[in-house]
Amino acid sequence: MSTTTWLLRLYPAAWRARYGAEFTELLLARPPSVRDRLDILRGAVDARLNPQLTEDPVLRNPTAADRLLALAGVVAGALFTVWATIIILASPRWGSMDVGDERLAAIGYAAGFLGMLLAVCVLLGLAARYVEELGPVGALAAIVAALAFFFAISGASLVGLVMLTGGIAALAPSLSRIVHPLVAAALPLATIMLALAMLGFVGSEGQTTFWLIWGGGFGPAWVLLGFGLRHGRRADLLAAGPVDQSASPSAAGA
Amino acid sequence: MNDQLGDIGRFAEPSLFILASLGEGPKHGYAIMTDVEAISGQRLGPGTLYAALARLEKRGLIEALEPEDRRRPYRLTGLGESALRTLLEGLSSFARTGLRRLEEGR
Repeated sequence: MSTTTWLLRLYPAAWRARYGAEFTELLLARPPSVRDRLDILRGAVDARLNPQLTEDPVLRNPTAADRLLALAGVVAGALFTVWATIIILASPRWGSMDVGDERLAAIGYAAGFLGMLLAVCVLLGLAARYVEELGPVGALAAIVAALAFFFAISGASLVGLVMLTGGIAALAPSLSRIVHPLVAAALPLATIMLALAMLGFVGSEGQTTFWLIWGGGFGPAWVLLGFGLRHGRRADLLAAGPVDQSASPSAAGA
Repeated sequence: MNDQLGDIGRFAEPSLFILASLGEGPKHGYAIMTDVEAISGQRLGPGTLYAALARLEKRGLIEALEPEDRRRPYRLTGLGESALRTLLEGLSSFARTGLRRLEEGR
């Protein structure tokens, strides 16, 4: 995928449908400099924060269930970050996983378990609600990732992490049909980093690195996923720009 | 910048340049960009250009014409023309006042 296509994908679908072709033509006529690329990035942020188009070709009508699913993702991510922060704060010194303050650590684990429970709800909700977009492989991957949290809760954290990494990585390609591709990519990236940290390939501070990634990457990735889900299902696919046509017939009939 | 572009925020200046560029006739994005650079000496980034175009179009100050190949020309609407005239007359009056005061202050 060329840089121009990538830059264009940062814009909302409605914007691309209206301006995508002429904007691409402009970038072909004057290949963007580094400064232009930054300007395009700012333009994309502006187009998302201050949409000027009233007719959105991507019609979404989020139901109460969609909003709940989105909220569960945001809260799960926030709880993961709270959990990791508390675990790090409860350690007596940097790099140590000894628990200095047991009461604080207990609160942290309570937040973490609640977060995992919500994450399980999100994954199972995805598999149930978005089965047409995810396809059988994506839906199965979401279920595997959900089961992984049960392994993690029951103490088999390594098995859980391997299942989580595999499940999330397999889910990501089809997840990009529901949320922005960058959001869909953030979750597997954070999960792979977690697995590498747990296996000792990343970081030299023992499990502190794991918790740093859990709180600073994995948690925010779930928050982003939650935000990405707030619009509900697409009733139509993108009218411009690169799209995966495989979800089109089923989504259009939804 | 007066009421015509008052709610456009940081895109008010590029918007004025775009309106001024379209004052001589319809132009597509690339032509606007090069023309604005020629008349104002300021480089207009592609993101800023289209953010301003979207705002001007939404406010009915410009309108899109049928695309030529993949390039779509824009032109001033009646509202855009009168807004541009008001803006330029305001700026002209401001410039005259400023210059006069500068002379009087010597």
